[in-house]
Amino acid sequence: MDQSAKRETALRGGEAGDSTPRTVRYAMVIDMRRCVGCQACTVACAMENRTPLGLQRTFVGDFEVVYEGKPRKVLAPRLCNHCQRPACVPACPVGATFQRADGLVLVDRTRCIGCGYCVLNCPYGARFLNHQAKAADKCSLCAHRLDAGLLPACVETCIGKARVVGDMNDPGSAVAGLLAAYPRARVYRPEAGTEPRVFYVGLAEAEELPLENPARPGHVRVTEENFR
Amino acid sequence: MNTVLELSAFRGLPVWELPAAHYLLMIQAGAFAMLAGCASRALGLQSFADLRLWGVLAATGLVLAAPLNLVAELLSPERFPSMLYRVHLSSPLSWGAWAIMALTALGLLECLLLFRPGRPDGAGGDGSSVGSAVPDGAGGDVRPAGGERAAPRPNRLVPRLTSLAALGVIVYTAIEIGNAKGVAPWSGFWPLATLLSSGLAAGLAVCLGLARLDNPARPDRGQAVRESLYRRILAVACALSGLALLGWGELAARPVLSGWAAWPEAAVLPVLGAAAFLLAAVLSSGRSFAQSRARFGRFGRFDRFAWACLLATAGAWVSRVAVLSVGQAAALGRNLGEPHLVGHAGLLTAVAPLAFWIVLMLAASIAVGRLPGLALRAKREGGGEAKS
Repeated sequence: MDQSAKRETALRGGEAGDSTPRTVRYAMVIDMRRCVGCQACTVACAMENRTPLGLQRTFVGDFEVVYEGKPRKVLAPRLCNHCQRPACVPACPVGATFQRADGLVLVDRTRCIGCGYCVLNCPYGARFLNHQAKAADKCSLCAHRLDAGLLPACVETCIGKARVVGDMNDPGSAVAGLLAAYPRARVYRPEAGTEPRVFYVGLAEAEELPLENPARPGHVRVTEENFR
Repeated sequence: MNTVLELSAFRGLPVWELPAAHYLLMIQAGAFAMLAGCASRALGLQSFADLRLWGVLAATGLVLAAPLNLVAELLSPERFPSMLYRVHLSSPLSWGAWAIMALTALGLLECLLLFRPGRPDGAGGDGSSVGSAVPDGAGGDVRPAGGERAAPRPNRLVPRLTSLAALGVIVYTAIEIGNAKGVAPWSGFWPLATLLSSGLAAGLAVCLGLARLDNPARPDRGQAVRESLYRRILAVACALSGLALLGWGELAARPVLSGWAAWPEAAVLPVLGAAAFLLAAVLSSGRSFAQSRARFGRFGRFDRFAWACLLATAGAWVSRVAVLSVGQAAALGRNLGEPHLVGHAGLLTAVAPLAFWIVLMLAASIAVGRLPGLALRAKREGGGEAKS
């Protein structure tokens, strides 16, 4: 099997060329045991999508948490969750943010007025205002690459193969396989009711996904500033 | 590694900056001022008849100028008209823009009716301002020269529609802030109470202060009663603002509810609340305007009441800046050293709509003084003390 066929297999599931009609629903599964926090995904995304300096569509959060009385480092890759019921899409006053049939939540830069309301409506802080493009910006799951049969830049560059993307509606896809193997895959902020489609596996049963929450010990992201 | 680059990586920049705070202040104050200005006609509340002229004028100026802040806040202001082509009911910003357009159109219509001489809707028939000393009960209609025919029934349709549009704008701003799912500190009762009560205080302060500046106080019994009423309303609004700021600051700084993130900087909110309480106390226990004017006479028309109005407006401005800053700071690790207030738009752009509104009010003041109907009536009822 050549490289492109392998990619197609990873994306669509099953053998390349399988023409069985189905509804594609892209999702990502992140295995937190495999992430080493190298930030290669961050750099690859910035290179691929030419984001402004200091603003990232994806990054790996670095948390020091206490689990069962022992300190532990948790690396939590973050990106747009491409929610099933996104809060940003209905908030957009001009319809520039939309959801494709395959579930990807995208921004039409030619229509975006840059009001920032979608940024304030995202419960995950996954959006930002791109002052260079004069529009809201976020992870598109490299839709242009997916459409071309390629993997997203972050997935392709991940040295630990922690990120897996594919069609979760296809039982044969790697994503569906992981979700079947880990029925308790976590999502960020399930209470927001947005049904995120980025799943996290590999945490212990009682562990929570760390968030930037100053009210909770261990939920403060380690940055250069607070490390010092 | 460059320290600046290192520290700014993976951090979101503030989204809404100073123009957004000005926009919220002006549009909410305008809506509340319009409600106060139209209340006398829409509901037949004679107590508010004095607020009609400057309530409507100030509100119309505010709703004309406030969208400039909204446009300045956009990254692509040239695409702003696309918001008006189609309504997205799911987006408060979309239908809110239409509510503002409706309020602007109706406000302009109100101004037109206000300045038309001989009409029951006109300012000549309404007594208009705080200082014009309209006798109690005469705040309504113009009587014909003969004085025998019954006064024409005032048109209440336009004021009622205008009041509805103003309510729509108030609801829009409340939903816009309270429904932002990414900013947890904005959801809930306290931020909304802070915004709405301080908006009410600012709206009343704007029209009352302008009326005071346009026509200084005179010792008149009926007027003293009205001034007392206004001062109490303003004091209650300030006290509500203070209560909301106090409660919200306490909750934000020391979360007692699940889902609230502690944010120590929110401790500044109780301080603001205390300041609002202080202002309320000043308003509720002050001496009469004539006395205060005698004391502050060297400042001309800028008497104690005008100072209180100015302070109430300033408090509302601080409330908005605090709500926006604290909310965005608490949301997912934003506000770690980035400039929050003056962003891409710049300070001059943020201040320009306020200056535009001041120019509009100066023009309105000149128009009110020079229009024959208004000036004559003011002279007749004010013993020649009013502006000519």
